[in-house]
Amino acid sequence: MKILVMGTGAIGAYFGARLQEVGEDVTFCARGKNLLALNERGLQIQSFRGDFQAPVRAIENPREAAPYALILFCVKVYDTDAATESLKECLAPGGAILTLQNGVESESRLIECFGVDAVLGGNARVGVEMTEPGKVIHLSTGVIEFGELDGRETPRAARIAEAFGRAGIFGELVSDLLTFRWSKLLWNSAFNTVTTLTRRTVGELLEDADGMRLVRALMNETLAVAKAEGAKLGPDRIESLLEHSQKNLRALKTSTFQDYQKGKRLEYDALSGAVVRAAHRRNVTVPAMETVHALLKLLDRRLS
Amino acid sequence: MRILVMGAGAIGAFYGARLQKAGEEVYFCARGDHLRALKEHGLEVASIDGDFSLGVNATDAPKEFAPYDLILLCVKSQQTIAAANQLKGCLAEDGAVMTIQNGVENEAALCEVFPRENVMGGNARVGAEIVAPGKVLHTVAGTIEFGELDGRETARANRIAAIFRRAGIFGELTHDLVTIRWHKLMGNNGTNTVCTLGRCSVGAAIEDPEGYQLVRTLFIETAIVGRAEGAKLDEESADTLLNQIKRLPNLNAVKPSTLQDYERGKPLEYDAITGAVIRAAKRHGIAVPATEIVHALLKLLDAGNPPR
Repeated sequence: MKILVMGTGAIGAYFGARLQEVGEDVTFCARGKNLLALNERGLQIQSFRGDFQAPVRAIENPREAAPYALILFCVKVYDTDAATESLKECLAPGGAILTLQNGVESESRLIECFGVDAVLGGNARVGVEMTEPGKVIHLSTGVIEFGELDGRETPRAARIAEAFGRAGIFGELVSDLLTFRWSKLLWNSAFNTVTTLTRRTVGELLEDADGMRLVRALMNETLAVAKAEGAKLGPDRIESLLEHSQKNLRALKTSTFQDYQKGKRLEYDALSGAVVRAAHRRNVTVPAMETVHALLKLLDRRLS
Repeated sequence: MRILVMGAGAIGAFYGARLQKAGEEVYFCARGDHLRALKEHGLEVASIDGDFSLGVNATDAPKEFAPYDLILLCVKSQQTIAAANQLKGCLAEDGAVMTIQNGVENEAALCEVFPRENVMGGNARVGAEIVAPGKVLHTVAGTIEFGELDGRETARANRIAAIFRRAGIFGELTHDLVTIRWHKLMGNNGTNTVCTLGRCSVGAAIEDPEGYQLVRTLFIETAIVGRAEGAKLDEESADTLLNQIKRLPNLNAVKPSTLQDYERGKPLEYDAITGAVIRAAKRHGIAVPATEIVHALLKLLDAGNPPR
C-alpha cells in the first residue's frame, strides 16, 4: 500500500517505520531539521519492541510522491489547515485519510476538505518521544485503534487493518469511533494538561493526592461531556484508565509537556478547548477544565 | 531609628534602601551571593522613581548589630520560623518586628516566638525584583500599609509612620489589619498563582479574557473566606481591586514574586497564599474550588523546581 505519513513527529515516525519494515511503500512528510536528518541519516527508532534504523523517503511537499492509498494524518492539530491545503489532490481514488491527531474535532475538518467518504478516524495509542531530528524513542504501547466514521466494516478498513496487523501496530477496528475518540480525550484532557502545567511525569502526578484529586475532577467533567455527546462511557472507564496509567504509563511525558520542554506551541486547544466547547454546546459545567484551559492558554503565549 | 531588614530580597532591599536614603540606620540580613554583593558593591536600585545606589551594612547574623528598634521581616513565609528563632533577643525593649510577608498566617507564627505586643503586620505594596545579586528593579507602587495587631494607634506606630513618610514609603496606618492583610492576599491568590502557572506578567494574565475570569474567580473566593475571617471584603472588593490593577502603569513588566521564584529555580511561596485560603475556608466550611486547583498545580510545580 502506498502510504503517506503526514507530519513526521514522534507518532508519525513510529507508525511509518513499522509499516515500512513490513514492506509497505511509505513516504514521510517532514520539515526543517527533521527533514534534513531523515534524508541524510534515515530514521532511527529505539524501541522495546526492537530497534529500527533505515533510510526513508522524506519530502517536504506531499504532491511530489502523490497519489497515496492511505494518508496517516499526524500533524499537530493547530497545523491542520496548512496541512490539508498541501494535501489537495494527493489521495488516490478510493484512498483514505486517517487522522490520528489528539482531540475529537479533526474528523469534521478533514471532511470539509476531502469529503466524508475519504475520512477515517483513530487513536494513536503509543508513548513516544522525538529526542533529536530523525531519532525517536518508543516507550509504551504502540497500536492504532481506528474505524470508518459511520462504523461500517468496509473492505478498505479491513485492508488497512491487515497491513497494521502485519506491522504489529493493529489495536482494534472500531465500530463506535465517537466512543473511542472521547475515551482517549478522557485521558489526554486530564493528563496532558496537568503534566504540562506542573512539568511532571504521569507517575509523579499519580503519586500526589492533590494531583490525583484534580485529575479525577477533570476526568469526571470530560466524562459528563462525552456522555452528552453520545459516547458510551461510564465511570468504570476512568478507573480502568487510571489503572492502566499506574501500570504502564508512569514514565510517560505527555506530548504537550514535550512540546513545552522543546519551546514549541502547546497542543492544548484540541484537548481542554475541545472539552470546553462541547460542554458549552451541551450545557454541561466544566469549571476545573475551564481553569486549566485558561492557564494553558496563558502558558502557550510565553512563546509569542 | 535602628532598623533590620530581615531577608533582603527584592522587597526588603527596596524598602531598606529607601529608609537608609532618608537617614535611618539600616542593616540588611542576607545570604550567599547576594550578601557578598551587598558587602562588596552595596545596593543598586533601578526604580521608576529614579535610580540610586548605596553602600550598605550587610550581615548574615542579625545579632551582630542588635538590638533594633524595628525589624522588617521580609523572608519567604517558608522561612518565618527559622528567621524568628534567629532573631531572638535582637529587639530593643519597645521594638517591633513587623511582618510584611505574603499571607495572613505570619503574625501568629511570630507571636509564638515574640511577645504579642512586639509584633506588627503590614502589606508590602510594591513590584520589585532582584535582577542580579545586589541589584533590585522597582517596577510599580512602593508603599507599606501597616498597623498594630489590636488596631490601636500607638506612639510606636506613629513613629514608624513618620519615618516611612520621610522615606516616601508610607501607605497607611491601619486600625483593621485583618482587612488589609486579606485584601492583599486576595490579590496574591489571583495574580501570583495565575502568573506563575501561566508564566506571564500580571498585564498578560488580565488582558486575556479567560485569564481575567480566572483571576476574578480566585479574588472572589478569597474575599468570601476573608469575610468569614472578619475582613471587610465582598465580591465588589474583588472587582474594585481588578479595576485598580487594570489602571496600574507598567503592568506588562510586573512579575509576581512567586513567578520570580519559579524562574530562579527557588522554592515557590504558594502555601502562604493558596494554602492559607484553603485552610481558612475549611475552618468555615466554604468551598474554594478554583483555589484548590491552583494550589494542587503549584504544589506539583514546586516539587519539580528547578527542573531536572
